[in-house]
Amino acid sequence: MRSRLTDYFRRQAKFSAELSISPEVFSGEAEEDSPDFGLQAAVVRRTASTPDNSAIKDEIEAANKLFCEYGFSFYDLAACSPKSEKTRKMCARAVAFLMDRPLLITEMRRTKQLPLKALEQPGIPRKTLERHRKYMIAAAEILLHDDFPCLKEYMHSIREEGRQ
Amino acid sequence: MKAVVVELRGSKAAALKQDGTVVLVPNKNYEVGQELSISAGKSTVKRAAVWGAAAAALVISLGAGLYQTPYSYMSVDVNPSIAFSLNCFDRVIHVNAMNGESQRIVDGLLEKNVTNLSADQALSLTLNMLAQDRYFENADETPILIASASQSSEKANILADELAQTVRTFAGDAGGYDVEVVSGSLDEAAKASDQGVTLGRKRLVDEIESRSSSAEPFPYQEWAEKPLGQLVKENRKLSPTPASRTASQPEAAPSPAAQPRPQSHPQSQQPQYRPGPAAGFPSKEGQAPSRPAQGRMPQKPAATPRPAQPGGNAHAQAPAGQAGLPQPPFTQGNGRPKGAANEMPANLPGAASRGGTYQFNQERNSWAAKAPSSFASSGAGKPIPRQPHPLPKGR
Repeated sequence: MRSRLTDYFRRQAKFSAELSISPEVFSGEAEEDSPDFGLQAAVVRRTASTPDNSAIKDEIEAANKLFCEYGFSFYDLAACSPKSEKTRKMCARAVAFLMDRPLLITEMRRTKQLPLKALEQPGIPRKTLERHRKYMIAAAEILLHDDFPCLKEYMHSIREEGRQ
Repeated sequence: MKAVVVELRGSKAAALKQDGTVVLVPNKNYEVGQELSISAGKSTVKRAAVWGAAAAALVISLGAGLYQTPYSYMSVDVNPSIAFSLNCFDRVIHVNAMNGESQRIVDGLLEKNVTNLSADQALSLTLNMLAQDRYFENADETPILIASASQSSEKANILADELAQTVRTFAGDAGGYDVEVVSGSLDEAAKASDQGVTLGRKRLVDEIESRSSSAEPFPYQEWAEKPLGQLVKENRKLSPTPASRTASQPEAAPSPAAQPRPQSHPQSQQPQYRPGPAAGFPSKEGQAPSRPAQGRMPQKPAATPRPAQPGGNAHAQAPAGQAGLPQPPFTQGNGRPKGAANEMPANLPGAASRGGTYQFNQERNSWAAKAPSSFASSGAGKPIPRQPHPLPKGR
């Protein structure tokens, strides 16, 4: 019995830092006559200041769905994102070139493939294009679609560098 | 840099950064759409500092590794046999006592911090210690055998030259001492070490073994443990006659008389080699040590003539040079020049220490010290030229 009690208290020790609060507090209602009003008020303040990220969440879900048609997801982009500044500029130039040619965009959306041959130009080696294929498709789709205003903010630098 | 979490997979979260790239970050209970603050990476200064530190560490570790890597070998045999391992900078990194007698000398050398000394400094220190221990009291009974080996034969020869020069400087061109410098390969030195002997001693015992006519198996280890003086005597006893050697080994002693003497070494400028008692060493008669006159070797006392050698030097049988033709510095079988042709090109490195076995190089049109003579004659194509042993005097 003694050992069981010792084990129990040890198990419960990790919750010692937690404070129990009524679930209503999370909906923004603090009880003024409650003894832990100060705690509840703090929780209400914190939850109220949490930004509403549902918009960007929807955009991300929609973008992910779109990328699925090409056979990749946001997670796969981590592997093929340009790491160095030089490569990032090359990719930006290729994306800008692609976006300025609607025919290539149509071709890309139809075949679900990046028109590598058309994008090949001096200063952008084919190897770089092949390596960052998925990334360029994702960047072009995000920048071309009007449904992703929040994500476009993150791709803004690519757009700017491509124009230079 | 601002980033937004775009996908979660287990313990990793993909985040879209503000520069448009996607990175994986550890998932700390993130949600999709959550904004993060990700560091933009190390600053250029920090990165340069890290690379600099890494490069410095690499250089230091490589340098330390290089310094501690054995590259050359040197051994000194008087009767104590001492082997030195040298690095590529010719600095001593290890000293080994190759017989019981040498352990005390090695202990003394280690006490005097012989490690990290240059090869010639280490040799000088060793010879000094041997002299202090009265190993050179009886000069005729005390041959000095220096051996060098390196990863390249060229380096081994250079090292042999330097060591020979050091011995000569130390002994003051000791006329009463038999000094032999040989060079070889590191493989040979390693084999000698495996057998528990120095390279020089191994050469000597190999020589005796090859000349031994006994039908019984050669007691190598027994011979290897014999005193150096005894080995030299035995080797001399077994040496073939000078006439037969000359006839059988014309390449080993090409007649320099047929070669023109280079103008850069005029005869008049060459100091004569006249062996005499070693400066710094007490003479046999108890006389005070004498310094040789400048530019001349000390005169060998006339009271100690050398008997004819049963196994003389191949050079001794070479035809004498004709008038007007270059005179080879023929030796008397004791490694020293003889007669009117005894003039040694002293400015040739290591010529004296090589027992006067230097040759005229026809291709280079210059005199050059031949690779250190050994206890046997050399053969064409062999990596280490072998010469008749210049430790001649039958005692």
